[in-house]
Amino acid sequence: MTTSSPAEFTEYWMRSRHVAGSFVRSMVRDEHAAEDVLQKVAIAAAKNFDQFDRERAFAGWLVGIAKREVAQHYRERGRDRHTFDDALVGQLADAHVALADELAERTTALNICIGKLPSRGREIIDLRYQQNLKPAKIADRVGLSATAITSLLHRLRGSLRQCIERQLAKEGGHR
Amino acid sequence: MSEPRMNPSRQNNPHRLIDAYIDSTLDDAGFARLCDWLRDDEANRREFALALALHAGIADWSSDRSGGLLIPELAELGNVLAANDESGWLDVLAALDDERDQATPIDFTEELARREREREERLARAAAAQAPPEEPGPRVVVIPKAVAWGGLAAALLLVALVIWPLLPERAAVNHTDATEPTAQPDAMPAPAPAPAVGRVVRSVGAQWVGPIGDDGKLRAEQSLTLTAGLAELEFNDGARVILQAPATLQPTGANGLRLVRGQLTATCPPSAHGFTVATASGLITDLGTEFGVQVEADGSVSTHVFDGSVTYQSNQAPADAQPELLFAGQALDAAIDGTARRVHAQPAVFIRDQEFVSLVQAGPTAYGRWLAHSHQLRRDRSLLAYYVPDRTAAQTMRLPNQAAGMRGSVTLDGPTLGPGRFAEKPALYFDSNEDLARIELYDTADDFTLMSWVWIDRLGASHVALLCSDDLAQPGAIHWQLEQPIEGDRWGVTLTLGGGAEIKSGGKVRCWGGITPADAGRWVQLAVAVSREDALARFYVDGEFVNAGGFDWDQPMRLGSARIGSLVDSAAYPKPSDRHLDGRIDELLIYGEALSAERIAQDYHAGRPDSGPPPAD
Repeated sequence: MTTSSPAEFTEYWMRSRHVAGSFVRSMVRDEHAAEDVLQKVAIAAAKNFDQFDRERAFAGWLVGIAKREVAQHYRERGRDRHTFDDALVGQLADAHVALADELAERTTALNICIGKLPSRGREIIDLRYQQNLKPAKIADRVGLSATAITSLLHRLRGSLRQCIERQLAKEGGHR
Repeated sequence: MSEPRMNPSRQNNPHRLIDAYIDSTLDDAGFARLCDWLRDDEANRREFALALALHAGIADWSSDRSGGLLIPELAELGNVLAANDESGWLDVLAALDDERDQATPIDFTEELARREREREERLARAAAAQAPPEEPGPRVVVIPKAVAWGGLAAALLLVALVIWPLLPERAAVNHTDATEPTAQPDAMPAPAPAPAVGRVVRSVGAQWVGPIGDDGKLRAEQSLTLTAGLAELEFNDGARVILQAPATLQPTGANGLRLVRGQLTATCPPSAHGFTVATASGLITDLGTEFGVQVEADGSVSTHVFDGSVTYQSNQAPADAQPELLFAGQALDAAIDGTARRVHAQPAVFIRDQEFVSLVQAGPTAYGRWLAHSHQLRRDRSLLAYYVPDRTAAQTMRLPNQAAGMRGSVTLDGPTLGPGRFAEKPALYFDSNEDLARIELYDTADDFTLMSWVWIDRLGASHVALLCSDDLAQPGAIHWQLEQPIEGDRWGVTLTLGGGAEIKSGGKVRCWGGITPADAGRWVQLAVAVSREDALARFYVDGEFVNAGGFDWDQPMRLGSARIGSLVDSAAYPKPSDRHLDGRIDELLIYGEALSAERIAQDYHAGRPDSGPPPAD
């Protein structure tokens, strides 16, 4: 067993937290519940860090813990109406882990791109993400139809994806 | 409003399916198509993972914006460390702000080692005294969002200083004794006359019901009710509690109390760590240093942490369940049935030490009267927005929204601070059309009341903008202004109700009278209460009804992006210099209901700058 330090764990955690965060959110769609699950992932990882084999990829080990915490969440709270089967969960976990090396750069690019959104777009982002409202509720707030809000969110996310790719290309980043 | 259905022509677009999955608008057939697409190809699963990473990234970005969790939490940790006389850590904290973006780890090795030694000594002393250790065993440690989602330096501090020492394996490493806490309780002393466990130190207008004598001493298990005012209690172990009426409590000992109903703020020095507040829903235990607790009539409890950390254990939880751990900036709303949810802490709702001292010092002055009323207003659930200029605005260039649980601060771009209604507080001073105070408020309200204390230096331009949405064409937009009379000298207070092109516009509601040039050079309270059901806007000046106007407006109010004291330059208003305020604004309130005349009068009398008699009941 390796004797580890909090600084070492923190450094590993900071490198891979985006992977854990996006995997948990792909399985647990309620934002508050996803937060709770991610906290439990962090605690479980810290508790078992001495058992982590430094020869392995930390992101993969962390997502493995995340899969268990997600399963526990389903047992405690019941499954969402739309839940992936175990085989697909495993495949999606692998897909998230495969992104581990890219996510830090993509997150930096995203922060730049969000800053370029027009105020109307930021307003919709705030309502969806800061106030955690679904499209129908946003529609009530802003006086548009729910379909219009859905399309707006789709276009905003598409714009951000394209902006991120341009930003990465400019910096010689990933595809 | 029902959830949107996907246009059949787009239903197979993968990103549409992913977005619908993220936003929970996907139907069963769509979910099946999404699963089939994901199983098809590894490249498809990569696209899904990228889309979810984008979704997670936007959520992280939004949470960092809302309340700025990272920096306040770092500041709170710095306060804790500084209180332990680790003065060097204040320099470290300053460096954290600079180094955070560079993600350069700071070496906390020495501090970690010191805290580990202190913790071992504390556990050893507890074991030697055969008392239950201060840390009763394995706990679920909650990592604040700022650490879970970002912030290398914050993560290092919190993991190192809080999480790591609490992990049970580490608790066993250097202990020579068994780590299991003793199951033997201390022998309880025989019942005796209740000793004094604390005393009332100071109060503001306090009225009590219960066995509290002239000596102000608190005794265990004696029920006390504070029916009016505020009181500061000091417990024998050093904990200080500011209690806000109405509140009922029972001291449980030198280090705790039971809060049956009401609101308190507790500050616990190191000698009082472990102070408990028992409620019908659960037990709050202080780990150092300052927190607030609200207990409602139905027994639900809201716990807000301002400094340090506390634990919350639901009364419904099994005996071996891990308590919730809350850090500075975090809050927990818990019901008596055991359900709970995490929210952001609302320090503005609670009276803390500095504010209490101000109230004590203000005494029965007009300012003291207003200050007490202002604290009550912050808890008013009907308030959408409450802005009070204070001296910090000169540095921060912001006025935070003081209404409990509401977001949206005012950003200052030009206005300076000038004399307010009271010598103790300033007001926003506008003296040119370039002075802008921006507000963004996207909450909607069918009924609403706008209220402000205004000092007008000059009534010269054709209009004086008070609060105006940037785009009157937006649904729910409003303009609240003073308007020059066509003839005579009685100005009008106008409320223009806007709306989109496809929505029927309500037009302008005017109230003539109530303001004349003679009102320039004094503080005036202006208010307008709008009821959609009555289709009526009622105008008030200095708490008195002046006039009412009908309107035809079929949408809820939604201020949106707006300005205080000026109007945005637009095609509709090409001469904004005609519409800016020459004067000051001291307090702006937006209620999500149409206040009654009595309530508006109460607000006026509570906030007027003179020390005249209160209104008759």
